[in-house]
Amino acid sequence: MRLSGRFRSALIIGVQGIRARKMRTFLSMVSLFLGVLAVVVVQAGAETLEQARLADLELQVGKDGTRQAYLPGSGNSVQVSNDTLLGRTDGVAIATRQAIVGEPGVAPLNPGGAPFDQPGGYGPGSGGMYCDQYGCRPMPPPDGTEVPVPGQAIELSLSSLTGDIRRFKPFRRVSGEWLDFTSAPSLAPRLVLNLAAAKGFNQHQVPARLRFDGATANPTPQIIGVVDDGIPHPTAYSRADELANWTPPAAGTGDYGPGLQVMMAPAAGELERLLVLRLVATGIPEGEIRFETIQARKDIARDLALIRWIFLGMASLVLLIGVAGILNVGLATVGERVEEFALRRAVGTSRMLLAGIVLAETLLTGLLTAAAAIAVSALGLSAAGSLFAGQAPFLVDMVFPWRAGVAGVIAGLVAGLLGGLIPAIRAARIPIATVMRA
Amino acid sequence: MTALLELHGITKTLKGQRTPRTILDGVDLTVEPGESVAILGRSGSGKSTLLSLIGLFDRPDGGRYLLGGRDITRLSERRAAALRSAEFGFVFQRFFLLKHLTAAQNVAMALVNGQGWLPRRKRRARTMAALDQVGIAHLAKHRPARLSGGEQQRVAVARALVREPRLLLADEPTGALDTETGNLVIEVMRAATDRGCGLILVTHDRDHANKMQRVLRLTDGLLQPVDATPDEAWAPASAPAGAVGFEGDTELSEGGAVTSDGDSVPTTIDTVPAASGNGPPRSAAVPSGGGPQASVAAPSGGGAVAEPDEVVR
Ligand SMILES: Nc1ncnc2c1ncn2[C@@H]1O[C@H](COP(=O)(O)OP(=O)(O)O)[C@@H](O)[C@H]1O
Ligand SMILES: [Mg+2]
Repeated sequence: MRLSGRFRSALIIGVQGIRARKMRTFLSMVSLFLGVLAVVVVQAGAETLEQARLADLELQVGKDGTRQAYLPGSGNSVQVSNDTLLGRTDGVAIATRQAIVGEPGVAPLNPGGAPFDQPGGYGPGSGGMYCDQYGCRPMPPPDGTEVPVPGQAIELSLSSLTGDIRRFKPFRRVSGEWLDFTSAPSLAPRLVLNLAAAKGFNQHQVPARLRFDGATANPTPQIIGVVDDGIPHPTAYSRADELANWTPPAAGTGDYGPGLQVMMAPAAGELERLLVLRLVATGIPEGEIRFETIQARKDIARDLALIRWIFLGMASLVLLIGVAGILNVGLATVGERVEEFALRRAVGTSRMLLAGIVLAETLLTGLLTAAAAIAVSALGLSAAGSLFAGQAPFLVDMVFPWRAGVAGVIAGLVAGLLGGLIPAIRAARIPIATVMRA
Repeated sequence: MTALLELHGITKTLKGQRTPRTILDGVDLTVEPGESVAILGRSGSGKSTLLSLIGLFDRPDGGRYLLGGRDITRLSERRAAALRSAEFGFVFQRFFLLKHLTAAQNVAMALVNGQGWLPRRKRRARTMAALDQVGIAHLAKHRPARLSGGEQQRVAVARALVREPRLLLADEPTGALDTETGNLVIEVMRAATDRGCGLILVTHDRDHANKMQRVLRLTDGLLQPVDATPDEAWAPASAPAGAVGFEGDTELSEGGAVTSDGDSVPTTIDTVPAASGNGPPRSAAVPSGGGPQASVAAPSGGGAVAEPDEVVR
């Protein structure tokens, strides 16, 4: 009760003081504003950058904490993994093989599944693949005899999924829809393209014929959507069970067997052990099955820490200038209010409370400034988001990071404390008898 | 009964530019509840210094200070602030109103000092009562710039009275006012003593001094009684200056110019050491029937010094 009475007294007097000196308060806010703004912007910028980098990294390597393993794609490993993980939400098997969509008997427009905006081969094998009515095989070496003519066909990596991979890699939907793993499998395999593949399909008209190694026939795929998966070369995603309709169990034993990747939730330890047991049973040496944990955040934090410290150092320099401003105004104000402070002590305000009032005024000023700086930078961020949406898509759905707000409030309070301390001590030292000498 | 205030041999030395100067050299003073005392003295004689010691603005170098019978010579700053709030009201030569606040806010300022908390409604009621007491309730919403000197000083008196102090300390409150408004301000303060509030008035004005029950003079660091001079014997409210509370030195130096001929009578009374007087010499010296005791029935009369905590609930 007594404390709250003192607190309320300080608040009333502080507010009266600020209202009586609006101009001064405003001036000290101006000097502090830039400092707090700098801190908020640095914090928000660092965090935005970190979010963006993290989102990119998670897109490419997977979410923090995910357990993942690359397995030899030969033998029955694909079959076993698919059987074990089909219908599970806490794990997914990704079997990737090369495939061609388009005209048969021609060399693809992008041999080797290369990106469309950059020439040159890419992907497994040296010269890419070539399919005709008899199936797919590697393109013969350049000095070979039978060079197929390029035709309307696109080569891409085809990933078959046992479940929703987005739990582990946060693909961003670009258009259309994502694979639905709950519906019954379709005979026409549904494909979701990544941006690199979509570019090829936009540029070239190709017949809807899907060819891949080991397929018993060439199904007609349905392309249902486009996602951003952070992968630069053309890739398509499909349900494993829909592709399996076209792949006999024994297939996939050739030289170009699919690559197999398994991702699991951090808590799916039981599932992981079961899969390892089954894989070992098919003859894969246990030493070749190595699960590791993805640590995206840690990698980024190391990169960003240095930059962050440098910028924070610069921000605190600016903040220091703001503190000097508040200090300057504060000292001038105390000099001007000597009589008021002496009078207040004469009517019973204690030294401590008087110092507290002066501090309360600067702290209040610091808080107001912090609020203004936070508001301005939040507005600025959303303005930048809509302005630079083209160059930096991550800015679009960026929310103002709360930690930047906290940093701003702390900066404002610290500046108020630093700038108010000396004036407060001065105020407390004014002899009361001043009221009699004047 | 317990005296409101007792000073015994108070000394104060101030560090001057070159040599330390002894301003107060053993001041003795006793004030009863509801009693009014005037202090005269040349400029620079240490009147303000004495008031600042009484008002706990500062500490004496030596001597003893009792308030309501309790020794408060050495107090922590925190307790001193609490006593300033609860026991004393101050009025200064310059009014010291805060110009950014209204008259009412200036008065309420003494209630918003961290010593206890009153809700807004009670603050307002007390403020208006104090303004009413000094006769300017209708000016509550005016800022100091719109008030005359006399009105401003009355706001200051209201500020001093709003906590119903036991002792009002006024340092030349009429120094900046013309005679007529000065009289009004003095009358307002004197009226407060009817409610049991003690009053120590430092003034240069003999008329105002004579309205107090006792008149003292500060010379050479000592408080000495002043008798009524012939030319002010007619002053209506003037009380003969009893030597009440005066003790110590028997040798009196010459009074100031004003009392060139008025120091013979009190001298005899002064030589009676108050400490040895087991009778009630003080009340005997106070004229006019009831005297201060009769008016002590007022709010905060008598008793020990209030604890800071119980000042305002
Ligand atoms: N802070 C101080 N330091 C040193 N000397 C002071 C101080 N304040 C007042 N004095 C001196 O003390 C003497 C008494 O001052 P004061 O009590 O104000 O006298 P009065 O109120 O009777 O005019 C004066 O000579 C003054 O110059
Ligand atoms: Mg003086």
